[in-house]
Amino acid sequence: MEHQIRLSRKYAQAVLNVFGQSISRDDIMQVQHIIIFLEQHKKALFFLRLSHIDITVKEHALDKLFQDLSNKKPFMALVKLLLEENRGHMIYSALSELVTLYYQAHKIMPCTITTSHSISAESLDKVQQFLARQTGNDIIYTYARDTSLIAGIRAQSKTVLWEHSIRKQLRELALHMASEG
Amino acid sequence: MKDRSTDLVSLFEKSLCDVPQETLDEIGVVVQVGDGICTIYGLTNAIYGELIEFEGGNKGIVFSLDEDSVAIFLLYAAVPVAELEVVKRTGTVFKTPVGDAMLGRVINALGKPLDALGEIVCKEHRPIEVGIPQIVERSPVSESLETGIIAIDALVPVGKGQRELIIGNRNTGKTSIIFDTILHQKDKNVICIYVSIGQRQANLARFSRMLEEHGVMDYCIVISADSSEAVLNQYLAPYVGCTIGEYFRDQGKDVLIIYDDLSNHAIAFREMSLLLRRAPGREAYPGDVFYLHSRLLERAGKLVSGGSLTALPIVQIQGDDITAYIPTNLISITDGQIFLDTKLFNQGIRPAVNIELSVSRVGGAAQTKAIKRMTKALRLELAQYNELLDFAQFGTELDEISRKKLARGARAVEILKQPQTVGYSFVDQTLILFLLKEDFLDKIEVKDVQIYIRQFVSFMQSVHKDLYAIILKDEDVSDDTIKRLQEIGVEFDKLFVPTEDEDLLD
Repeated sequence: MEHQIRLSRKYAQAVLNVFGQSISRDDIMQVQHIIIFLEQHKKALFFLRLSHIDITVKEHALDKLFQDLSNKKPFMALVKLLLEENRGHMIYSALSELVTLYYQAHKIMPCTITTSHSISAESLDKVQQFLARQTGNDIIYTYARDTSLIAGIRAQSKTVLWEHSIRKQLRELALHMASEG
Repeated sequence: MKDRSTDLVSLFEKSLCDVPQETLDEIGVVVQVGDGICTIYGLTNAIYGELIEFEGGNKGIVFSLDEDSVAIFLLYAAVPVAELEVVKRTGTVFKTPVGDAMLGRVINALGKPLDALGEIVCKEHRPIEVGIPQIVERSPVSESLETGIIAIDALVPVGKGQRELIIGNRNTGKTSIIFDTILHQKDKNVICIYVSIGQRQANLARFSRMLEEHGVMDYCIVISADSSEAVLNQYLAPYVGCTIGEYFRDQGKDVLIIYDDLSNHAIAFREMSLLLRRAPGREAYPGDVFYLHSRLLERAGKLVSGGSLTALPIVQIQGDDITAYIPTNLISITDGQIFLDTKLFNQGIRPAVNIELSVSRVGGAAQTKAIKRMTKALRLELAQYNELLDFAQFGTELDEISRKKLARGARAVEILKQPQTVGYSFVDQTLILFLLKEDFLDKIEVKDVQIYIRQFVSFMQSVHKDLYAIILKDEDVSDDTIKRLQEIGVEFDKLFVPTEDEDLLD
């Protein structure tokens, strides 16, 4: 598994090295939808593993998947390369790595903001600005409500967490009490 | 409801404005967990040995830094860790509480009490991995650390700041020696730390109960990482013990630390290394298993500032084979070893110290002058006795000199026998060794030797208190003292009544 991730990263880095200038942030956002689709339809990856399915069929299927992209050339190049090397099933991990590397290169931090109560778009923007200030990155966020916070807000990316909630305070209190015996 | 939520938001907006940078935690997520080890994605800036907190309440220590992930060993085996659980950096390495409040307590590797005597309140916390004292900070081992065991104090003496390995098969009395040594430190201002690694809980319970019964817990600390605990705790326990010992040493106190035993510690480390997929070497131990123990034992020593940390690591061997991997490592790290022989143990020679295979590399310099004077020829005599004994087993007719050597050797072996919990002070040992050196035991039956020496010591303590006090004060025996002792020996000879033969009694 670890080996596959490393390999996928190499493919993704190669795509960025060659097509990096032509890939826009919108392209990446669209690729993310494909990633979500593949995540939800893992069978597709299984079919890509099967050797008795002709490579042209696989390519056609993936072409359909990428058809809505405004700039599909870099991604189809990746698809072709993976299929030629019998690694079509790695498309999901390669795209995921591609997105991660793109974000790293452009200092973008995807983030999930959850709140106990629904908040206005202005408030979310304020949170976004706050996180951007704190991390020094551009923040793109997905918003969700989570009543288990009881009252408060939580912003989490892959590497940082900011939480200000009653749930956190209770958790810390419980840990403190447990450590005190 | 909307009003409430708006209020809440404005409250958070206010708090957002005041939030300092520190509250932005660096996190990772659990991607794999099992066997006490956890793989975390993220934690890009984590450092080796850093303490990591899990949202679910568990804690762990970073042991491997990979490109995308870090491997963490969990501190609490019972606290569950879920996949995708968020973990946070603490920015600090694992620290243990240290302080006087630890004295008299039984704790685990995390410094938590196990003895139901309440919480331990310590103001200071110290990292468990610290730099060892430098050469200029150390002073030579020059002061004796009495064990109260004549076989050790006379032939393989241990000095304060020394590292003396206790090596032997299972059931050869390794822990008994340790127990007697701890007992003997009573009123000697030596703090004893006993670290139990991978032992059975019942054994530890018995050991600490014995310490309590003998009223010596006041100056003892017992640290336990039993065999049922997480492998990380077994790995940490000796370092925690050493750190606590260093706290007292830095206050200028003498500390004795016992690691019981380091073979279990090496096994725990091997398990961790294999789980981390590090390349196995000899006996499947990782390549740095030597460093595991060398960096621990190098922390022992006597400091110029006054304190000392004496280490008595124990290692268990199989089939009396001292050439196994871990024992040879430890033999080379330490300043000598006390080898406990199964054969001697089964012959009833207890403590079963094999004099020929035991050595103290620096202890001689630390030995009390009085004992040193009395033991000059003892090792040689015992060696000659063992050689002749092998020869005599073939029924060979021996000459007068050989017979005398055999008789003397038998008496020498007899005086080195010592029941458990009976400790001899250095003066007692000097007197006993004097009896052997000055041939007073030659005319005593072997079966009477133990009674004779004990009665003589008692006679000296009660009748010749002045002379006893002189030896105690001078820590040496002058020619005059020897002359007086000879006179007393002659006097005692007349008083001593040997035990009657069993046949006559019947």
